[in-house]
Amino acid sequence: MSNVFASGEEYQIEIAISYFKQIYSLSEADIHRNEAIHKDIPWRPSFYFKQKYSIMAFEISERPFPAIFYTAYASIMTVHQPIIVYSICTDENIKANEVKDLQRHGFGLFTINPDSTVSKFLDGIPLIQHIPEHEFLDECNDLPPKIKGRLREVYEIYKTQPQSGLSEQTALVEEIVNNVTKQMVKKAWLPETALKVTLANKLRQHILPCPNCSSATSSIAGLISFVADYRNMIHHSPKSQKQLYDKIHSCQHGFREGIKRLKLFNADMKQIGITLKAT
Amino acid sequence: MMLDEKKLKHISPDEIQPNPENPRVIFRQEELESLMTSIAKIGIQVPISVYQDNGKYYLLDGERRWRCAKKLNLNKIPALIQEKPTELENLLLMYNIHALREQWDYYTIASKLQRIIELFTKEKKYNPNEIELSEATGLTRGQIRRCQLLLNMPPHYHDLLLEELKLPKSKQKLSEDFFIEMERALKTVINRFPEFKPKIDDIRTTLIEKFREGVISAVTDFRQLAKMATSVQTLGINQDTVIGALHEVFATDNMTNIKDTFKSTVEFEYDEQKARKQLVFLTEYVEEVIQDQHIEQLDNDFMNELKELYIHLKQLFEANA
Repeated sequence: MSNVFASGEEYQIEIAISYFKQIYSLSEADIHRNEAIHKDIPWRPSFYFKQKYSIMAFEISERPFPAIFYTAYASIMTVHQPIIVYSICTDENIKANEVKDLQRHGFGLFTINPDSTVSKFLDGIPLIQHIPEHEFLDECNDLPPKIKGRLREVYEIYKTQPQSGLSEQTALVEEIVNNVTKQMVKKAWLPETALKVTLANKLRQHILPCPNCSSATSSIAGLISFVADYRNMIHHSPKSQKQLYDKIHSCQHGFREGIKRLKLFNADMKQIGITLKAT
Repeated sequence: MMLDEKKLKHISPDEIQPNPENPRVIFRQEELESLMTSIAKIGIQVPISVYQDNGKYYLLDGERRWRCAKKLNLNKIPALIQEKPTELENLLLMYNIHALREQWDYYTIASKLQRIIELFTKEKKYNPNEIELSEATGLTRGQIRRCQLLLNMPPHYHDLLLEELKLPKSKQKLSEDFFIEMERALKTVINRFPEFKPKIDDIRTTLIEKFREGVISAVTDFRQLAKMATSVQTLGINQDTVIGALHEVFATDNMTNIKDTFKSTVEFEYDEQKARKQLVFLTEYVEEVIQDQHIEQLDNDFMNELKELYIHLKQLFEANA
């Protein structure tokens, strides 16, 4: 039964549902209207449906950021399910500050246009992957400005495409390790051949056993473990629903872990006169 | 008053149905959200009221709390179980609980008022007058009259209005005010010129179309339509002129609007009538001032305005000579 919460809600629900039915080839049975997603989430979306990798939940609202999102946010973050949350409002009700607020929380936005078509205004991501901006900035403290700048670019990708963001982050780690290797070769701590091996081998076979790096073994080992866990994660398809949830959840953990490992690595390298650099 | 413990229960919001007699169909998000935020923080402090019928609970009071509880996915909410009311009691309860507190819109009020009249008539064996309806429902007589205007429209206009009210605010073009103003004006037109009565539905359709297309720009323009209709009696305007003008406004094949037709037909006469009333007042006032010998008390601004009027009056009489 309908639980109308915004003026024009029923009208907008019908337009939006018919749009999503077409886009995702859904039947009426796939659409859950005003039903709870999870008993611990204090929110029944206007409607939701399940996708292969996630649950997409929608709230019809008179403005971009409905108050229920504030109430439900913390619970959605703790429930072990990949839920992507979207607000749907009419095109003329867009307010820049509320859109920014949606983005900051990881919510997405669809608009109903004057000609009754539907457009995606802002991508949402599974909230268990979401890292709030202020937490990202806190975690980046103490890193060299250039690295921080590059991480910022990577974070922008992560905000809408977490798996690509994590992949970009591991590419950045590789770039940094290559540069560190170069500096060590220049100082004659490592042989020239160290430049020609893979990232994992650079770390494991050259940097870790290097006598000049003896005080940095734990941060190097941390970086080795980060590379092993996340370097190729994007290429491995999950084999079960549990693996899928774990993978999605890992994205957030991996991204935070990458920053933490880089910070420790940076501190240890600084001690031995090596500077972390990125282009 | 102490609550009867036996009647206070905690019920799942999913077990509760909305009251079939609650005519309120439109809720504003803002008012629901502020209540919802409070419920999310401190829960439902005042139990809702329900009655039981055929194993189901029906709301008597607390529809907004119930909607918020469902939105917040609450498991149970406190509810006072009351006796099942009669249909008339239930309807009157809806009015007395909700209409005054929540400022219902006219469609909401009107949609159930007709049923109240029917049940009242059946029970008391006579039609209630405005005063009785006002006492029973808590509505003012003005509100009841406005509702009657909506009620007297054919059912398909009710559907049209309801469909419109379901649209997002920004997309709503026809409001209750539109229909109330239009019906009031058309009632005046029909009273003065019954020849339009057989075509009343076509006239409504035309006026709705013209309003939607912006030919008629404001709902208040309908007041000018009523003034045109009454101008034959009040101003002595030629009846054929007025009927011709009304035909123009009611015609589908033109862009004639009310405002321009009013201007070209009767506006001057209405302004003249208004000026005459002011002139009569001024004349009486000046006579009084002279009689009571209060001329010295008139201030300069007033005397200057009178001098200006005197100059204009001279010009007017010379031109008219």
